[in-house]
Amino acid sequence: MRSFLSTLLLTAGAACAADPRESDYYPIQPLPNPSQHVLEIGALTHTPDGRIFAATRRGDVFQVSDALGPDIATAKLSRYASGLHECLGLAWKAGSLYVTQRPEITRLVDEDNDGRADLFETVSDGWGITGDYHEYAFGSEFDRHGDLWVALCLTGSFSSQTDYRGWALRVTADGKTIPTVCGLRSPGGIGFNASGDAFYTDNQGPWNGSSSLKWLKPGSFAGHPGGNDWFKLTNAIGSRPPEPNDQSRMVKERERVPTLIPPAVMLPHARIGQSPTAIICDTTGGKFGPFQNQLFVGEQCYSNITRVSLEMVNGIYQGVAIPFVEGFGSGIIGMTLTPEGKMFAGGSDRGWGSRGGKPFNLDRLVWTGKTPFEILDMKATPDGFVLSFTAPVSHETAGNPASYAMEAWTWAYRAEYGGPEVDQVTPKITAAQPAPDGLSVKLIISPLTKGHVHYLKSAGVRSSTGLPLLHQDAYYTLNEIPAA
Amino acid sequence: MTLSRLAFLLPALLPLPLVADDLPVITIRTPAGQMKYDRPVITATPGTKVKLVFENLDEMPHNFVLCHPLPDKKDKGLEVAQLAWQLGAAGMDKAWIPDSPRVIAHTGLVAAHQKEELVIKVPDKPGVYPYVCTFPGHAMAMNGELLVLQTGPGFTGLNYQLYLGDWNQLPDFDQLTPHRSGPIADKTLTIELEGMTQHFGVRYDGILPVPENGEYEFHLASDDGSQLFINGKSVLKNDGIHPSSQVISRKVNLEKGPQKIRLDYFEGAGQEELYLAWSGDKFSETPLSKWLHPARNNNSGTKAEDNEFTGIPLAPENGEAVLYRNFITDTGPRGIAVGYPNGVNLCFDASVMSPARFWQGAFMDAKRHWTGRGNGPQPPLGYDVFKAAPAGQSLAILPETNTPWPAPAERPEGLHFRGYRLDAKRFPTFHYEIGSVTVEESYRPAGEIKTNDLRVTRTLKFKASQPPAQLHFRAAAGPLKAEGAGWAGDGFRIIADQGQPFLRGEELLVPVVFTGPAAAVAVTYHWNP
Repeated sequence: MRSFLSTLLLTAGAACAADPRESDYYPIQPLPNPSQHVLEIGALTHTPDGRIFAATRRGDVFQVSDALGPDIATAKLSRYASGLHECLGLAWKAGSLYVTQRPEITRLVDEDNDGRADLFETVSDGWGITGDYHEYAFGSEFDRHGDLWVALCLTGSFSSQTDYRGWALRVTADGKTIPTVCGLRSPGGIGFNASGDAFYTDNQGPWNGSSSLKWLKPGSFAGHPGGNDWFKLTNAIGSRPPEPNDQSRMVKERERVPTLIPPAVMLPHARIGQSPTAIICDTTGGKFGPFQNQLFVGEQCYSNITRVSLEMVNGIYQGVAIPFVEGFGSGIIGMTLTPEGKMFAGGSDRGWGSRGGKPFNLDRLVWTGKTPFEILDMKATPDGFVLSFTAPVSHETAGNPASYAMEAWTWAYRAEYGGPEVDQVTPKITAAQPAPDGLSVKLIISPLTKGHVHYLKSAGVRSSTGLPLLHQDAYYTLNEIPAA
Repeated sequence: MTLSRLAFLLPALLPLPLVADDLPVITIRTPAGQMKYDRPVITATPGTKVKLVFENLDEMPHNFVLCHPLPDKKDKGLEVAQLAWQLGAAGMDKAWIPDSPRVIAHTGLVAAHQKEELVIKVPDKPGVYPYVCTFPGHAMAMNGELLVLQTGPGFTGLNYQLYLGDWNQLPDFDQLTPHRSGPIADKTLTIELEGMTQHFGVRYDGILPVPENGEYEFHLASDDGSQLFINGKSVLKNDGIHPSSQVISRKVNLEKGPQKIRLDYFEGAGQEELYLAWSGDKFSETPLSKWLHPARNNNSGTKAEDNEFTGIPLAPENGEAVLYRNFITDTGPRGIAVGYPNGVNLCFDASVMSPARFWQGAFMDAKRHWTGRGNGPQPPLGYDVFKAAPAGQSLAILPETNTPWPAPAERPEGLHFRGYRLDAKRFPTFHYEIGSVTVEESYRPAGEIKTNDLRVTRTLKFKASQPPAQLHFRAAAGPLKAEGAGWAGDGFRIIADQGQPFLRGEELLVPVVFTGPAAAVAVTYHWNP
């Protein structure tokens, strides 16, 4: 039999010429783990002095040093703390590490500077836990006001059996815990966009036809009424919203439930993932590539990362989800991005299977400096969308409507678990007008459907140098159609 | 477990990697923080010597003690580990190696990140020999099995006929003239006959001495095609162009005595590999080819049987306490279990600021919470569990002497957990508040399991700018009777070290008396023999 290796090299050689790959631009680099620590990553953060902290589902916190150099082999892991309860949030401030674990947010300090934390100070334990495995608590980094956020899973998929399950809380610097958003189902991560607004990912299930990225607008209702009983404990966000009608549509229930905010971006179930997790924003000023101020969303089931770009239309967020990098060894749960442009992502397949075949992973993702040919952004217009690109397009391909195809649909908004794609529409691309510089294209589309995901496949578009798009699929959630 | 079952578990026991002194080498490592050997099963041939390399990747010391099996049951060496534990204070000096006839060979106590090499004389008698880490508290998870297994015989004679040609299928060698033929000196199947790498075929004819009547299994893999005949009958056929990744197997009944084995093989282009092995009731998979199939020669790949998985026990390391925050039986969901190095364990309930349970011996098994989704409470792993008081808080303001103790609440009003601080030995001091009073609660373990005098002193220190009157500490509750200087409860004795306790019905209460802004109370709980 001919050598696999030579066959592989031949194939790879051929692929390079015609078909760029993600790893040409963003290679995945596993961190060395010579001591074979169990690194079921639940959260990651970084410090101003260039350390990475990694917290795990087993309740350990590891400190990673020398991980920002050109060779990942120099990275060193040491245990900073252990004995915590399923860590799913990390933030660093002024020498203190803030760990969100199941029962509380805890401030860890290494008081004697021996590389291990000694002080474990409870910052907030202002929520209930019953002993049900599903009651996860996902913690954020610090927001622009110096507050930490925590997103609390329901007790299971449907009900909220103790205080504030299904809510997002804010914890202020002086230790006040403020109920802020209700209607969460099963968060997988929480983070902020470039302007500092908070978002979380929610998983497909009851009242969530598909997984999505949702805006945590203070005072809003995120869609699952299971936790609404806790309005009896607080008036921080007004009174209990009316129950949404079952077997309805989000766009319709928004008219009945004033505080209901539709997901900013749907992450279409079984198309780009099944279990979204961490949210981080690229504020590196270009050190991580061309996607400044966009969001990167981890995915536990498909072991990949999706890129999200948001815009605000009529007072609410909406935007586009585009596949970014796949092929991690296990399901991504925690992520962080350093100012130097080094992204770290890790997770585990425990309890919920994931692609990749490894029980856990901790990887670095770096930008090689080569710019992939990608859809940079997709924005809604009154009569279609404007696509921008990371490199000039060929006018011939990008100006041809046949280079694109579009489908649109939504999901039933219902109490039952998950939901089928419904109300399918096939919009027509009537015109494609490249800008003179080739860096954007205006698509005229008919019809546009408010509340639908508009899935654009740009299979025919080529760069001015003849490259196909690294990712041809873009899923735009059209909550609002901009006024003309 | 029958020997054939063993053979199934560990297909390839031969040959092990060799070193300069020609002893087979077996490497066993201890992954960090996992309380296990990386190899739950190793194998060796009876009566031989092997070199064991024991590499400790963990942050605490471990050893490796190979034991004779018990005649009537599998104990995984736990009895030997128990003897080690009973060495008590002397154990460390003896590297926790007990004086027992069951010990065959052992390493010393290998410190964190160190390794030790050991030459082991493998017992002559085939069987399953347990090995175990006898450092106190480790044996439950850190154990494994040395399978001492016989290997089967090889060819007593072997000849080859080499053919040249470019085929996609095995040709009929009978119709072809061999390019060359002759005996193979080491009687092992090899395809490196004339240094050719493509466009050739080989017919091997050998004699295999079958030790007794019975069923034997043959295993064949090749790149490219091959076909095995026994006494002229086709047994396995793996023809065509393909890689050697798939091993095909078939069982055949053979009679005792020499049997004729024929193997036809051809190589097209690219890689060339040939693997043939056999196994029987009395011996495990024994290669008959020089090339060893990677999937059959991975000594580290064998997994322990699922039903023998023992959990993920946690234990104190390096004289430091170990903490485990999780759902613990009879504790609220905010349990913080602490295991101290001398075998004292407790679980502090951070919902009510009270120790829910005390126990001695092994600490906690994390398997329930660290595998799968981790639902439900986990009981202590050790023994002699007692509770000093029923569920509920340990501190309360009692305005009147007959004010009843507050009924148990999930999270009592006015009590707030503030965390803990670890000292140099990682012993926690818990911080919390009751009303405007701050409390620091710490535990100091003492005694030894060996001398059966384990005890733990619980100290509460209070601070308040405006001390409350009538703050009481409930040190114990339940059926209590005066005994010596203290009181005996269900499974424990309690002695007051600081403060003036009094019995109120079944409650042992200690008034918290402030001197200025500070106060302190202390009691010691002893396990009752």
